[in-house]
Amino acid sequence: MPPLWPSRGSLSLTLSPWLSVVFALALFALACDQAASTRPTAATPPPALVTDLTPAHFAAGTAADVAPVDNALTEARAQLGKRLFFDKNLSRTGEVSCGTCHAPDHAFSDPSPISTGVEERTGTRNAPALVNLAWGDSFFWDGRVRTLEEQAGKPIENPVEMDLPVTEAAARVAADPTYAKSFDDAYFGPATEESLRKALASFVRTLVSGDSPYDRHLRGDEEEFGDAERRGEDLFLSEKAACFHCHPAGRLTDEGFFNNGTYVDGGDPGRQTVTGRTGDLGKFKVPGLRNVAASAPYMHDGSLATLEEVVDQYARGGRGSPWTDPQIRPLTLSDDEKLDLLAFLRSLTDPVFLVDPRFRP
Amino acid sequence: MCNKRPTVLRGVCLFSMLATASIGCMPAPEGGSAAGDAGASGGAGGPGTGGAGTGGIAGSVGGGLGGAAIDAGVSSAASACVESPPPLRPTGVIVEFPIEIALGGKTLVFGEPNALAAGGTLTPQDMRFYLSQAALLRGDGTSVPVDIVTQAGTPEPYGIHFFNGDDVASHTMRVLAPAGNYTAVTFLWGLTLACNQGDASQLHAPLSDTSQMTWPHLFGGYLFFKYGASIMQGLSDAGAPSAPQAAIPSLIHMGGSLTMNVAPAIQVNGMLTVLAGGSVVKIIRVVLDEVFKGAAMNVDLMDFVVPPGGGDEITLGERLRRSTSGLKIFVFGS
Repeated sequence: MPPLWPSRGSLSLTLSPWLSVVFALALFALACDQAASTRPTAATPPPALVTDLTPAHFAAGTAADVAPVDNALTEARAQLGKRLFFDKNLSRTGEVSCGTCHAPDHAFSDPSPISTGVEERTGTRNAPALVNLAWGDSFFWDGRVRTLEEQAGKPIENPVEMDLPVTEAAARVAADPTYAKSFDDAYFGPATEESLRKALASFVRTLVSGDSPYDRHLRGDEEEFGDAERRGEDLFLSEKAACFHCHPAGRLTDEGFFNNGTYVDGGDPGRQTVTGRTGDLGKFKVPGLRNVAASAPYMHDGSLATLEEVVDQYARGGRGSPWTDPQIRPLTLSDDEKLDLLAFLRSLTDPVFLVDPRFRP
Repeated sequence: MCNKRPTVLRGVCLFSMLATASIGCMPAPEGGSAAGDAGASGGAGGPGTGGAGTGGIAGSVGGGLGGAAIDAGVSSAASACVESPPPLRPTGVIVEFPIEIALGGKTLVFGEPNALAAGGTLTPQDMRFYLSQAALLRGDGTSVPVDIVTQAGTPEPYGIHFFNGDDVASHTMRVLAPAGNYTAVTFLWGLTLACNQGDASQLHAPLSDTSQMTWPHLFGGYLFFKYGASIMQGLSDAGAPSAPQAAIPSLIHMGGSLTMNVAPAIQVNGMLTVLAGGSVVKIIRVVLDEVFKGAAMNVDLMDFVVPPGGGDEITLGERLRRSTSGLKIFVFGS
């Protein structure tokens, strides 16, 4: 019988046969264990999308608290909505999903000024960031819908976006057996137009950003909110910069519609297309500003490439449209003050939100 | 109570621009303590507020009106800002006050160009204000506090009516009144001190941060009246621009104080007969001509400090607030 161990004095690196067997068995056992720990099993749920995280100074409650009664926010609904959000089969050509224009890396906005849909068709507006919309009052740049459920179907059927009637999108999903259990778990039946929109809305509700340095500052944690950020915040909330008129502290959007002088004339009518009022020409919805540094370019048409350009445009008082809101006026800001404002705007970035794997396909 | 960096002038705190732990303080309006002209249908000394009846700080706002007494219930309610205030009375008659905005004798159409007498147009873009602490006056001068109510007759949140030009549903204020004959309706044009001290980020409509009425800091109170308009010059027959509409401002922001009740007390005179089981509708017009007159009034602003960077709209608002007692801003329509 060969010795188990190499004899002392042997310089050979060759293992004895018995040791080789033991070693091989150990390696095999280790490999099996690793494989078992990384292979998803039917019993391992994905990380929860529905949490109690709430942005600072949002008093209405959690995303689940503010969800509508007829579409209560559940994990099953949110997970289903996430899968749909990234499913290109919801577009006529199979090229485009919601996630194509609402990119997680960019706070679910579009880094292109104007979004591109199927067959490279383009619209007229920049896809806005999807951040904290659970608390929103209206949606789209012109605020033409009041619920996320309504909003969810519009891009799907828009000819320059996904160009597919929502009924057909629902039929495609209903014909996909891999969706059947998810829809049954979430909405107690097969996919319908209504449940498809509701699921998408549920996922969007879970896109909650509440851990930026600004949020922490509002909660009393000043570790990442320094002097420049504080000076910037003071300016932001002062009559000198007057940002608060539309972007109040905490919520950072008053959910209103204003013409901030983005164009002079001949541009997108904006809110006027909804109300029909002459005075609403060029008014667009005030977006929330959390993660604004990640959601360039800016304005409804993506015409401002950087935050610096945004600050400069406001400092000029807009571009001179006669319909510019009277609260928009030239500002007297020093270069240092502009830098402080920018520091404050950058403090609204929630690094966890931007890389959160829960929000990725 | 002033903030950490108070500068006191005549016992009044300066408006501070700190984002945290800051308050804005405005001095009491001058002339606000005068009893109102019995025939006036505009600003006048009205019921006192702030829990002190007609005395003390409140007296500097309203000072009482011809001996009008204030109901203790109103005083205690004014000392708190309760989202669901208990009703003053379980039943009553809903009196509707549709509110119209008028200029040059004509009702303005919100969001549309309205022709100006001197040429050009005015397009109202923003018209928001709070009304609170409503009461009806009897012929003998007694004041009957009434709840500001919803269409269903329940007290409005915080007991406030919020007029928003953008929201047609808000264009009518309703009160729940006992049957009787009345000679006027009174209210505050703005908020009580208690409500003005609220944190908009923690409150609900119409005091939430989407009201578009918040001042620039978390504990800074609210605007009481906000007006914004696009004003276009007219053209002469020869096509040349007419004279600028110098007398018409495009922006007025009228606010209050974080330490005193300074909301103008308004009295609108006119007969109101409230019959049990009946309904009453009485139009109230907000006369912008008077608003603009007030905003341009030459009142003493020596103790008023405009916040750094603040525009003319704040000064105009303060002039307006201090001159309401001599103006007929709110009148009954025909």
